[in-house]
Amino acid sequence: MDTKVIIADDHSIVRMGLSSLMKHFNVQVVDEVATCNELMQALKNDTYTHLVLDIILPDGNTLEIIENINNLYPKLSILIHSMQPIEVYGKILKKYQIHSYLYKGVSENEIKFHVESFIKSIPMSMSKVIDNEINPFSTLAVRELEVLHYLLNGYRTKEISTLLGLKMNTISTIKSVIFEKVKAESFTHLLQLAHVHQISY
Amino acid sequence: MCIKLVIRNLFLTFLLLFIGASSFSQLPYTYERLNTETGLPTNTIKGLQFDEKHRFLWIATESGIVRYNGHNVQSFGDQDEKSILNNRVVYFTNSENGTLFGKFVDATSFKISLNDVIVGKTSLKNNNLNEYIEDKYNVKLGKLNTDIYSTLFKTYKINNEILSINDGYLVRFKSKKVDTLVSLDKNAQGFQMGDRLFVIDENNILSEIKIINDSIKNVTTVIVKKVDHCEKYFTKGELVKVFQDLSYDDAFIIIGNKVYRIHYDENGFNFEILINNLPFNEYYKFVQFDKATQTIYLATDNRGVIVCRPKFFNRILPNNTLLNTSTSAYAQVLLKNGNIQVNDGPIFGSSKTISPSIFDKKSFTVTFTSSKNILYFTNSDGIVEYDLTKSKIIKKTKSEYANRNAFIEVEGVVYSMNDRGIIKKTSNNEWVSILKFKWSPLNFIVYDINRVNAKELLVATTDGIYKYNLEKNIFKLFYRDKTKANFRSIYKMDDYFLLGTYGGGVYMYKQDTIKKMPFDPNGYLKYVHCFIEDDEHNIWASTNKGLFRSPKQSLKDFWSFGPGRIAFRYFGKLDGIDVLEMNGGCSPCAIKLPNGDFSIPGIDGLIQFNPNNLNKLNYLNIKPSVYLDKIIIDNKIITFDNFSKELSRKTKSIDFQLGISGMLSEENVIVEYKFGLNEIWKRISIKNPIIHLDKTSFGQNELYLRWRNTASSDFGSIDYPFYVNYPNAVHPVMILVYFLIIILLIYLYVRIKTAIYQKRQKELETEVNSKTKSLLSLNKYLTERNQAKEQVLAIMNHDVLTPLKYLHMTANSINEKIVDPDLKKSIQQIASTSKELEYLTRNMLSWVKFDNTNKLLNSQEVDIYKLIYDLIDFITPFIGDKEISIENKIPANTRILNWPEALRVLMYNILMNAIKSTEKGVISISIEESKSGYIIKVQDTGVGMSASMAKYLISGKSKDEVENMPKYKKGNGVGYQIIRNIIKLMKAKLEIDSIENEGTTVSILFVS
Repeated sequence: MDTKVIIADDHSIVRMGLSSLMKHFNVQVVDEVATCNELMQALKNDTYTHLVLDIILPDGNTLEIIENINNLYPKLSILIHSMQPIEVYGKILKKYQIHSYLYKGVSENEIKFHVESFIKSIPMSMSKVIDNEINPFSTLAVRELEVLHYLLNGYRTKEISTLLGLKMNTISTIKSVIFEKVKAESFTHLLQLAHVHQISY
Repeated sequence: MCIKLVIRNLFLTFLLLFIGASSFSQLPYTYERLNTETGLPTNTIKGLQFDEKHRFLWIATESGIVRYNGHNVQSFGDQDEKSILNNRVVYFTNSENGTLFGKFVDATSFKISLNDVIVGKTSLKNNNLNEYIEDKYNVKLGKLNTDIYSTLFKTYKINNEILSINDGYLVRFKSKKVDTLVSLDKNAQGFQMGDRLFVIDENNILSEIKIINDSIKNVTTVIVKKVDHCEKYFTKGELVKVFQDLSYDDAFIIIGNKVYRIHYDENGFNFEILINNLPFNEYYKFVQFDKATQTIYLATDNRGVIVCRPKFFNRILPNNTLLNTSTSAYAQVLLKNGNIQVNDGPIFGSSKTISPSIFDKKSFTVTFTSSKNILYFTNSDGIVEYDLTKSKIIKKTKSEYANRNAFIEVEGVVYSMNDRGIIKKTSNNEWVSILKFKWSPLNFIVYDINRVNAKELLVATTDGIYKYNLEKNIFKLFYRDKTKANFRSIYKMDDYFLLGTYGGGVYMYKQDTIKKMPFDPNGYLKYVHCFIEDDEHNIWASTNKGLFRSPKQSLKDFWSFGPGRIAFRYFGKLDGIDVLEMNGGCSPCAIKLPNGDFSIPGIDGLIQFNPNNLNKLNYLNIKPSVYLDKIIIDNKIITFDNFSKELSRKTKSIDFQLGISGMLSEENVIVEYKFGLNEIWKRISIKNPIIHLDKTSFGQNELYLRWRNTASSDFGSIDYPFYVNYPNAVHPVMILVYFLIIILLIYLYVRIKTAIYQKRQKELETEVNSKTKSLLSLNKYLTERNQAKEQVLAIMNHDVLTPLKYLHMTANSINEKIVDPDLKKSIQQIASTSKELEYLTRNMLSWVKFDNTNKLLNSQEVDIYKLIYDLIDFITPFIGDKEISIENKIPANTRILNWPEALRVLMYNILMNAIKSTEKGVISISIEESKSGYIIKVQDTGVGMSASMAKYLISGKSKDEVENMPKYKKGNGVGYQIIRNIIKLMKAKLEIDSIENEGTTVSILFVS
């Protein structure tokens, strides 16, 4: 089967850049989506061999759908490409079937190298960069990272509970755990910590 | 009633009346005269009464009433309000109920109550016998048919009939009338023995007056009958005076210079002679007798009162004297005939038997009798040894060691000491020196030696108490009196030793401890000579002012419990010691004679007495009483009733004048007082027993008194509470008021302050609420701002930085496919601009990030080679068209401890600055070790910079300067701002070495 790539990123210029890079590596079909819903729809409508997936999309967090994607499309090779620090999300995502984690902050050369390896299905290791224990957000679990995403975007407990289909008490408990784990004293402090530790939202 | 006069019958009519006169054994007496010299207001005595119950002698004089207590005369008329007591007394007698009463010349009556004279009513007439009888016998006679006046009432109570001998008539008082019973001798003196009345007429004939009442005939017959067998007591012409107060009182009769007490029983009269030879030829008016002490008080007409006390001490004078010797006695040696010879030679005693004399010349005062009955002493012949058994001198030894020696025998060996040293008697009867003193104080005399234990002798000397160790042969001073008083006697009292000094009092010694005993109140014990123990275990001590007797146990108690209650009895002049000064410094001092008498050497003869006779006298232990005689407040006398009330707050001083009863000598009474329970008892002068309180305390006060006969350890006591009013200003009520006012003021102050505070608090609360509201608003605003800022930063990171990178990538990618040169140039421009914007954005984000950070997180191991390698890869696109090569000179796998994120940003900015300032050449990054850590260097071959610019870039100061150097201004200044922030956070050091147009080396020094 020919290489067929779908890029899920909310920035069109990123999608465009990656698309042109893919074509540089002779990939003929490169589709683009900007949201989780569009991605799920595209995956449903067509068959892809590679998925370049941003973590934060306008309608949700990739963590909410990646397990489903894994289950539905087990052969789909996934490259996580995000501004989120790898030490925070890489550990979580390691348990899913992904090819590798490409941090958006790396050099252009590394991006090119990484993308090429991905297209050519050359295995990449993530172990070294994941072992950064200093980032307090790296201690957060999947559900906590999901809730963190909504918190940083200004969602209230009730809204988060609705979006994630969880009880408010559960969200409150998760909030407390997040604040305790990252040692945040207030919401503003949480925002500052997120900025310092390069958590995008 | 008819009265029948019966002529005096001079013949024996009543055989029943047999007088078996006999006399009792008499005591020697000692005499003291009370007169104006000893405190009487006048020598004219108008009455004399001894209050046996309270033990005072009351003396009525022509100038008032005085009281005598054995050592002091107290006058009762010396205060204004008692001026009447200065009046002449007409009579002073004793009533049947025991009340002592009398009348003054102005017909004012008085009576004695305890310790005071109570003035009574004033009658219209004076010298009225009727009133006298009513008071004396407590009867009411009513208005009599006649009034009898007299100055010397003589009344009797026979079979409940009151009789009087007045102006030579015997009269009988009955209700509302007076009967004259019989005419007697004008100077007839009566007395009664029970219900029998006797008279002595002017011819000294003693007769009995018998009154027979025939109630049927209403006739009274009076018979006067001479009493036989009494003539021997009366000598014609000799003055006879009879004294008796009440029918049950003893009657006393003075015949010439003899004083008798008359007893009468079924066998007749007994004339007990009290005083055989009164040394005074006086006109005696009153006699009182103290049964307890056998003291006789004789009131004279106008020469005061003579106090006659039993005498227990005899002064014996020598019956021979040597030339140039005095009657002063020291060491006594009992001669075989019972006489005593003293060391100077005089012999005392009445024995006429010839007995060999021992001291044929004046000898020193210390003698010693050994167990072999050898008497040792020293005189001009040296040491003389006199065999008392053979009555002859057996040895005389002259040597430097024979001069005023003292002796002692230790286990059969006689030792002797003087100022030169110590010698002892050897078995071959020779004196040998065993210790020669290297030095001795001037006039050093050894007075007495006693053995304290097997090894030691205690030695009394002029220099103090020495100890002589027999085993070690060491003679050493043990104790010296502070006043340097001589130690002159050592007396062994069981386990204790009494040490007598001349001027330093008495010490007690036991087992290497010495204690000074207290003086008596008069300090007589300062000079103590001899000690001797009697059969009753009393220790007698002779002093320069009499004798002291103390129970041995009382002295031992002093050792155990301290001073304060040592019992002692002083014997002095009032006890019959004629010459009080005794002698000491001799051995033996006091001796016990074969008859049990003690013989004590005195300054004028020997004082001899029998201690057992004195020990039998119970009256020596009579307990005194102490009364409050007068209370004088601010020099004004007040009554006890007034004293019991509250005293004026203006009271400045109070004098308490005490009355001490007991008829004891002043030496034998101790009275102490204090004004507070916790105060120390203070001793009162017995001669002048006045307690002066100078500063009275306000409120409740209390005078505590205690007293004792020195012969007993038990105190009597009494308390006198009194209350001195507080001045209004310091009255407890006022203090309470002050306190309440202060409390009120404090309360008001607190309330006002509280109100003020509450008001201020309310204002503050309002202000705080307002401020809080404002701050909350501001905080909300700032929080929102902060959140907005963080969100902006997040957006910039996510939505600006990343797209810019991909814009550059996209532009480059497109550019490769474009052929049109203009379009290609435009796309290149887009690529270039997007790269610059990415750089600028990244730096802006870093600036904000590290500008707001106070502390970096924990450092970690960083592969610096890899970090620089990635960084070079990252910044290579910024080189553009420049001919620059970047060299990573850091060895591969070099690991340092650092902050990777911060280090990355730091190196990124330094490298970007190097790229900007370099047009062509090489930019190299290297690392080298330093003394304190390591240095990362970035070296370029760019335009370089001035030293001032380098300084600016390091310090960030002198902004104007950099603005004046436009040639260096290639960036926006954010790069070095970030560098400085990170360097500061890393606590590293930044150095810039630059040469213009040659290049720059930036060094970062990290301290390990």
